[in-house]
Amino acid sequence: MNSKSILSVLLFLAVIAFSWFSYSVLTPASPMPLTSPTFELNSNTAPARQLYAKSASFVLSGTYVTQVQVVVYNARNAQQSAAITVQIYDWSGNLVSGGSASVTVQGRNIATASVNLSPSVPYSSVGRVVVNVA
Amino acid sequence: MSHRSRTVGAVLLLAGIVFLSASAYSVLIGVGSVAQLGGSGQVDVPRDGVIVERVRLLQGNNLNSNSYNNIEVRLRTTSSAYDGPYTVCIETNRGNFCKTATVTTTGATVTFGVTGGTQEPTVSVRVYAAPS
Repeated sequence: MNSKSILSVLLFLAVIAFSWFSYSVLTPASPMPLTSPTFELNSNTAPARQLYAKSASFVLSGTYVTQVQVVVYNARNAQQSAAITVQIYDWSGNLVSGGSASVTVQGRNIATASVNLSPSVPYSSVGRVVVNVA
Repeated sequence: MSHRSRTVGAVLLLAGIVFLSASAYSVLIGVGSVAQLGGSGQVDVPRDGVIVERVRLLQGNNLNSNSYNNIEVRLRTTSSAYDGPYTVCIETNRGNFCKTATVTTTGATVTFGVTGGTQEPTVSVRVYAAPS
């Protein structure tokens, strides 16, 4: 075997070594997490309102989110009405859906508002859900 | 250099290039599925394979408060193929926490104890999970 043949064999081995190195470096060593939406609960804590967003729940039809149910707590003693808006952002930060609703909350109590989303969105595209209570 | 040596060299070089291409392709496919589907790398769980259905801010077990000391997360899988133990983590205003829970199609509720106190005007809860 002459020097060029040896060179070819070495090149072949180098290619294999580089391939294996690339595979080892780029392939995750541990499981990657399943990223899920960020829930952002925004309350109106002004003394005159004292309305708190306590919970957000997705209602799905298949794999599409059609509605978000929001629980609101009224920290005042008197009954008051709460306006709830929901905004859905995709993984690129684009606003892709939303909706609003209102609910009457008794003093020192909770109430649930159902916010229908328009349009409904695939769960897999939901990066962030922002709930505002006012 | 003989004709036979050149042929052997060319075959080896070609085999190397094919091997490299196949490796690079498999790596790109793997990275793509992680980025697009949120796959685990070990088990191909799509992003909507595990759904976070609900996040609640609880004072003890109650929603009826303007304070909270527990953050409760409810998850479920969308297919029994994805059932199993998961490490469920949250990133919040009050720190980051992880717990292991068995998540199935019927759902799992994971409660994280956090520092108590009056609820902030904005509470952000990022949930993520990985098969464990």
